Amino acid sequence: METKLTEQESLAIINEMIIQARNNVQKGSANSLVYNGYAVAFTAILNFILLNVLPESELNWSFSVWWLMIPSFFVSRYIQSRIDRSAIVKTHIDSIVSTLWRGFSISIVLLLSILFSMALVHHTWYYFAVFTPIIMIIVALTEYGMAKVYRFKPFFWGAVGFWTGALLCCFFTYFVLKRGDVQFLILALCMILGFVVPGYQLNKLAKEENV
Amino acid sequence: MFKELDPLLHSQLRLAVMSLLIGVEEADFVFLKEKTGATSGNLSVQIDKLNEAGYISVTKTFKGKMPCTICKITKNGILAFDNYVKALQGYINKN
Repeated sequence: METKLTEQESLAIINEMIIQARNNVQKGSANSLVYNGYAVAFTAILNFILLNVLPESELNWSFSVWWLMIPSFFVSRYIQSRIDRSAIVKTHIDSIVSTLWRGFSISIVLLLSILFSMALVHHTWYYFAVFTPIIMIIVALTEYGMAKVYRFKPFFWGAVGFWTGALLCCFFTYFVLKRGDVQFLILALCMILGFVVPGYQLNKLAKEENV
Repeated sequence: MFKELDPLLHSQLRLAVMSLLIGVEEADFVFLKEKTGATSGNLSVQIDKLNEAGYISVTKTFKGKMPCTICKITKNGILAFDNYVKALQGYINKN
């Protein structure tokens, strides 16, 4: 069925459809963000507890809890693939956000490789003291980008939280408490405030938009 | 002289589909149906025409056991849409 259009009608259609396609946040799209927030916060708290309960000779074992991040990565991928499968549209925003997180993952792998290399060459794990703050800075950068593309203020405040957290890590580790375990508590708090809270808010927004 | 409006795009439903697809990376048939409010039959015919013209690419796949049709605008489609909008602006500025 063909309908003849006036120029004004054509413009109206283009305008309306572009608005329809914009801001299409998928229901549950922040589920993997919320999951990762809880997973990292839980692991960080576990690491903090182990650092405080294990005997001094066994303290290095406490960091083994971070190996949990490997199965956790696959759980997160599974959650994301379920969301992708149920999606009826893939927006440019989805594509940009995936690219940002891919870039984040590459940065983390490179950072870990560099720190491990330095640890092997210099026979010290001391460099890993900066790992948490650097990760938090990279997370903040990624979340700052997400805040821009989603035009979603809670991600901006999440990024600010991670930047502040990174500064606090250095402040407490080197100047105030002179102990590194507190970094894990700061990381856990930032994950809850920067991932879990905005994640729930984004899911709520998506639910309202897709009613 | 004014550019002639592309007859393939100068149709309510095809223009709506192209306008939706220009704003997203790719979209399922269900999404296009939901947003345009068209019937499945009519939408299917118009999608075929756009596909035959090379303005969109259509991939038929499965999500679990459910068949799904994914549509994506092509480079030719973006160019045609761009020309259509420019031609439209010419007509509107004239009036």
